[in-house]
Amino acid sequence: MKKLQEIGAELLKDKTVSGIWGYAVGTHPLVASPLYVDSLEAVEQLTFNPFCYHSLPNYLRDFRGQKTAVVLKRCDLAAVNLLLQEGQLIREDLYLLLLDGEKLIDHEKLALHLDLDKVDTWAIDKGHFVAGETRVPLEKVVFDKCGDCAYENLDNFDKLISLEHKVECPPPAVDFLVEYQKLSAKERWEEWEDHFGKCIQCFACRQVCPMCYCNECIADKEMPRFIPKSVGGKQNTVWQITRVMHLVGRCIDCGECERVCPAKIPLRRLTYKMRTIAKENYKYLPGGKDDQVMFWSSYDKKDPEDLIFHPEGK
Amino acid sequence: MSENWKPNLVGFFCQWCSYLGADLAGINRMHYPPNLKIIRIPCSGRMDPQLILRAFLNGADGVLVSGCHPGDCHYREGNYYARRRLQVFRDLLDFMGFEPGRFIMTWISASESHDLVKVVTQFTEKISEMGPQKQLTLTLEGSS
Repeated sequence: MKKLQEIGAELLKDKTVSGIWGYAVGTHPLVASPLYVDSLEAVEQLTFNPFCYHSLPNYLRDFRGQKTAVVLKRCDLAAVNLLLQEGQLIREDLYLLLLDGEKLIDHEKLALHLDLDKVDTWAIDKGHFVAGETRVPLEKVVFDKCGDCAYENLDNFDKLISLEHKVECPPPAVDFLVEYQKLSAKERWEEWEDHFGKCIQCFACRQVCPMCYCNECIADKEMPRFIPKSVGGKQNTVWQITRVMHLVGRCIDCGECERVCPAKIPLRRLTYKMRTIAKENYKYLPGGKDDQVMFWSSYDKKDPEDLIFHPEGK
Repeated sequence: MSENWKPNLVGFFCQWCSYLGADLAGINRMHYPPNLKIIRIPCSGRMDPQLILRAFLNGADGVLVSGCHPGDCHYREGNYYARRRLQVFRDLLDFMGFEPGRFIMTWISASESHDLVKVVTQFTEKISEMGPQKQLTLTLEGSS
């Protein structure tokens, strides 16, 4: 089985691609950073570990017109599918390297088990994350989103890469919406008021999202100004409702928005719920294919319509 | 809630059906509550959730969107798109816990002025019972 670096070197050597988007080891053993490689010397730096969170399709729009290879996780491949579907990328320009069933490890969950600052080396061993003396079962530290990946069956990649040490474990059995859905409407709104009161409108959720690519975002637009510029609970709520509405039928559940949020707002709840609605009520899975009709530009005559008000005594 | 509070409602009416239905109600001298401010839109497919949010931010107590019956759209399919968009939007608001019933949609054709009167009357009554909308209305203090 060939390694990531070998495949990368081959692609560059026979000029199949002019560059490769991948990951390099970051400033800390538990951190990775995105890396663009266009020379054989640099190819050695390519790596992949369960901390490679970043969504690389985000960078590909700047590389239109030159053949680029890109290292993808399953959710990233779905993002590429959607960008292709929306005409943002050209398939001929891309060489898609898909990682085989790789799961990511959540820093926040890991921090419950060990002190992240003191970790020098780590390894994956028989379903456990090992650092020094500590052994943590993987299902306790992998992201919830990796537990129920909807994109196991995507097959429009160019090359499948299997890693030596795969993060394989049973899915984490947490349904994070159960507790929330027990709350009454009033309590739910109060919870969101709490959360959005902390939002500072840094727009990290927008910047990191592979599907948010408008040159001029509605949040920056004047005349009409739909998202109030002042920061406050209600204004922030309007911003998030707007963002989530723009992602219905487009969110590929990479969970990046929640990860980067400096105020730790559980944003994935909203996007995940909208995915569920699209799936259950409209039988729509975003990014499943690269040629399906967009969610918002299609309709079915039998779409649910329980918001329609029927006056009494009609 | 002060005693002389009256609900402030915004209606977005399709210019090909509901807006003409409201016209017809006027010509026939029918009575319905004056709380509804009607805004004409070219088609219910024009309805952007943003407009509804903006109405709520600026103090609307209820929003009513009205378009042609399915199959009767002047542009053939605008109301189908509107239905999908606004249904999903309503589902999101419900999920977040925004008071249910503040935002409704209805189908009213140009000849159904009786229905229009019923819808507006019943909607106004309902919102009167619910009281002012405070969840999104921006106050001078700004944040909630």
